Amino acid sequence: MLIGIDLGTTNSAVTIWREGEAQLVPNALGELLTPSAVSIARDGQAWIGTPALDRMAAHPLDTATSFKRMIGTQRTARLAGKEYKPEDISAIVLGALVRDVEALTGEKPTEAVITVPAYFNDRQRKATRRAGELAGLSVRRLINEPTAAALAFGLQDKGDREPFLVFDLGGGTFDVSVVEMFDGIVEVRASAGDNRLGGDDFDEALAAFAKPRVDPEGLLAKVPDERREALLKRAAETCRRALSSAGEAEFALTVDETRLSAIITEAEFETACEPLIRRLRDPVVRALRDCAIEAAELSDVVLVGGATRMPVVRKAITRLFGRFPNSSVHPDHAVALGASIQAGLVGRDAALEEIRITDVCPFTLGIEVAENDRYGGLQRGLFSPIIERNTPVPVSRVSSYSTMGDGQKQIEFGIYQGEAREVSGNVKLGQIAVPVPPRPAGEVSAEVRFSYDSSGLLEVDVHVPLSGKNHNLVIVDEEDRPGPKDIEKRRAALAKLKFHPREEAGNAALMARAERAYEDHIGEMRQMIGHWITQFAGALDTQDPRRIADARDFLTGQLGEIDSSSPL
Amino acid sequence: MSSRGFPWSLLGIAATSDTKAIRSAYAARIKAMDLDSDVEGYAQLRGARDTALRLAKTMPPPAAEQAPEPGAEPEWQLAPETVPPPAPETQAHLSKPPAPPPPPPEPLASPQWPHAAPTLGGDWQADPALSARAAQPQGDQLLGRVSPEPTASSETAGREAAAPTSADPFAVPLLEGFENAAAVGQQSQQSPFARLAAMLDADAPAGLSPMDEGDEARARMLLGEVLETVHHSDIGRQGEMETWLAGLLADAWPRSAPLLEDAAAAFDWEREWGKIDARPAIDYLGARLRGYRFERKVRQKGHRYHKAWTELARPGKAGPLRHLRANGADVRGLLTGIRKHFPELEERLDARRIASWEGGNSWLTGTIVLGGLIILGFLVSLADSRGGGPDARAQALAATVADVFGLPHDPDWLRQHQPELAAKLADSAQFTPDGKADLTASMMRGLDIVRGRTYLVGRQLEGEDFETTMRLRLALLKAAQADSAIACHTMMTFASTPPTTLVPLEVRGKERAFYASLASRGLLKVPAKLEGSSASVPGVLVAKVIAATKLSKQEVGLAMQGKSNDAHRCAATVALLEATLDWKGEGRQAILRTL
Repeated sequence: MLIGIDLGTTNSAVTIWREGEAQLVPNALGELLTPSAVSIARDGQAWIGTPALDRMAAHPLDTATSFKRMIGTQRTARLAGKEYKPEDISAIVLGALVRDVEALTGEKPTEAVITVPAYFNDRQRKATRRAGELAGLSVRRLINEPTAAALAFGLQDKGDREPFLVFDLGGGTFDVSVVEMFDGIVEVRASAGDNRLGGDDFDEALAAFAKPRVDPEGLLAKVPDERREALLKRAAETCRRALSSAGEAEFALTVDETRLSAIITEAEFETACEPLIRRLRDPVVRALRDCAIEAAELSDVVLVGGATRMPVVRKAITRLFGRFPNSSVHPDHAVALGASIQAGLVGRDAALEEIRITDVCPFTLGIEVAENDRYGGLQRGLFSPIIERNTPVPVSRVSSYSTMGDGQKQIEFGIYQGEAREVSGNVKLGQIAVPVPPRPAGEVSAEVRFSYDSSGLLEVDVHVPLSGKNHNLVIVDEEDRPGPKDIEKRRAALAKLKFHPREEAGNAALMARAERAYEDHIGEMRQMIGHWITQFAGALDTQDPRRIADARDFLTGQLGEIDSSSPL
Repeated sequence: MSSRGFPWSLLGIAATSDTKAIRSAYAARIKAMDLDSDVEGYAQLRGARDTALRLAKTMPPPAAEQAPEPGAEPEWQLAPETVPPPAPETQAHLSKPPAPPPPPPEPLASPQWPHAAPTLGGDWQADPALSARAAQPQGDQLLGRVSPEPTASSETAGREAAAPTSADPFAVPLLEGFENAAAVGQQSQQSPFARLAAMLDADAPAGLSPMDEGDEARARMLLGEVLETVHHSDIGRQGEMETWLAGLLADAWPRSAPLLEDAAAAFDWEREWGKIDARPAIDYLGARLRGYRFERKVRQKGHRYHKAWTELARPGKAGPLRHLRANGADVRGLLTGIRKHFPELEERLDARRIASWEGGNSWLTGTIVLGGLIILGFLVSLADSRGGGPDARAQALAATVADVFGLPHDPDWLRQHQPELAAKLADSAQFTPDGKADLTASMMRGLDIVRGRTYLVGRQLEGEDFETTMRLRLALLKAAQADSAIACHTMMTFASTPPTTLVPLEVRGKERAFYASLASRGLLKVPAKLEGSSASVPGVLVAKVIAATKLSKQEVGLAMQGKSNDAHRCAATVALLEATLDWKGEGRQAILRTL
């Protein structure tokens, strides 16, 4: 079975294409969105989603969130004393989503379409693909998030649409795509983005702004780094959400036995976010310029991604475009729904026979070259583009280069992705050396062909006419590309983790939630919550379904009451 | 039937101005194909649709039934300059360095560095060899627009280039909403846009001299008001104002220097600097601002290159005691650095002093190091494949095919007979930096490819084809010889002529007919591996060569073995080729095949 997955920075979702329709699959707790959070205890017990988030305050060293922001880098996360690569943690979330589908349909999915931010570079895409493989999925296609959202939006009524703009501000990434729909062809005209800008940055800005006010005495400085970050992050997130519906909100956290809090107004939040808001403009301008469409010609501005709910962001969008954006698609669901539409397309579903989608390559791809400058010196490290950004994919292009040294025996091709004139400002994708017959400088030429496929993967061919030789080059990652054996090994390591059986997932989640409430409160209330936790743990130990059910209902009720009366 | 030609044939419809019909045809075609397995087909289909949509705009609205006239190929109306064969003199102005395989003997020099433009002043434009680089014209445009001391010619060019962004306050009405304020003309009530433009007007009495303190404060305040308006505008208006402001500041440099930081911060111009597609005015301002920052820093004591800077800024030649004042390595570091990053700063230094430092022994080490780098070897970019959508490519291909094979040959014809060559020619299309097809450069490049290939293929053919190949070779070699020894050498080695070589129209006509004949028989395939060959030349031919070239016997011998200079080798080759073609002896073909 082929499923669609939105592997988000904040939340993930899984969808299936069934009976001519995209459907969201609920997780074990009945939620349609699974927070992208993983918590692993020392004994290998793992929590995924909401319970992992709940464990975060008490066990920051066991818990990882926003790991999508690290994917495609060398950074690792340390959970309960063990190192995990970002794709390992992503694979754990993907595994949970796979089990959700299995629980709903009774069939284990083996293939997936996974969404990635349009502005993800080649390394980030490859790492995402590996995460899928680690979760036991064959990744049939990576599809750009705004493209998926455009599919979901476009298929609402299947009518023709003049160019519209998808404004996708997620938890960690920002994408803009200009899309047009005609006769069932969904055509992405241009994409641009910022793969380091999202809701998380707004949280950080808010935390940085609020910290001195909440904690004038520097209590937080004594708290270990991870824990401080976890506390601030959660306080900021809660406060930011509250600011979406109120003019002011409390920024509050509990350090040990002390409760720190301050009131933040909407205007203050706007000031704190100003530099981030400014960064929203550039990708919009670039995307529009690349497809030569004026902002005024757009038929719609479609909002996608949880962070577009923030009034401060909506205000900025309204100002930028001089009109109100369209929020007719569900900002958190559109991408996942689009993924399963793409899955239906890949599977050639009859209901989608009349639909086709064409996308673009949002980055410029090219190689490193050197040139003689007018002082007789050599300018090295220059970028020579082969595939221009926003070229429709799949695409294949050739450029010719020649040697620069007399008797040069080999040509080194550094392959780069990016928009900077000097390669040092671009992302290096790989490096290949091609032997050439030694001749005077400039007499040996080489034709370099770049082929970029619909999933955004690049293949490079070099042809040396003089020797008649062809070199087909598989781009090796800068980091070592793991062989099948390595993947197998890591998969086995992940398999050792223990997951809560589906029927117990609700209990585990409730326990984590109660623990979080314990951390959040002080004094009598904290003692009371501690007492309930002990009670609930006792009920679980009896393994008597009825007692457990009673205790669960009781605890749920109490926690609900606390939450609704909480000033948070 | 115009519906036969590109792009209509690919879309499967007759020529029409109905955009809906074009898009429907495209949709139907694309649904029938698998994009991943037919990449080239997809690119062509897209190109066809985009071209068709563009053509549709130029066509009269649907009285469409009677419209299409036989032979009225609409695509040719777009590029009328492609129909007549390019007169030889146009080749002298070709805008691209020659196509691969040979690199131009001159390095691909400075135009890659647009910020270098102003220091070159009018010289650059005066030199035809350099102005021929117009294919990379950011610098050129800039030169006209912002050259600090424009010559008469660059000034006029500047007016044109700067038209949309001119500092002229009357340009302000472009920003709708400000027209009234600008038109009223009352100083106090004018919009901040008009007042700022007036303060920075290069034609005003103050010219480009630095602002005094009061002016600077006023200008900053006005800029603040402008930026405030920008901040509250929608993205379309922001874009207009950004372009306007960037043009204004660039035109008014160096007077505008104190305003750059604020403007750059407001529009986040720093993100655009150093990008391959940075807009010229913004890129220019970026380079100025970075230079301005560097100069301020280097003038402070304690900066690493402060001593070197002070030394080089002293007027007059440096004496033998110069090493006491500055360290040679620092001087070299500073010069290399500013030449790479802030070339205009070199003007602040004293040329004679620089020369005496560079002439000295201390410079020698630097040269050796650079030489070492070159031998290590890297790549030089020959083909600038920047820009160009599929329709520009299709247009370039149509022009190239018509030029290389002569009318009425079109890309469809070539695709039918030689699909691989058609694809190669499409790939080699050249574009102007704004993404339009550079027809002249594309044709030149295509001609080079076909010339080279015809020679490699033709020398392996027999009979009439072989004869024609060799006679064309002789004609082209002679044309190259008339140009220069280097051109001739390039022709001998690569079967390709530099853009400076004038090929007689008569030869071009023969070339066209022959290339078309080879292509229609599918003979212009990818040539087999080139192998070295040798043949012995009978004395009678050697004697003819000696007579024709007026070289000594020994010189001819060396030239034939490839051990002589370019001029001798060229002369010997041309003479031997000519003599052998008129000769009927044994081994004739073997000799010709070595030439």
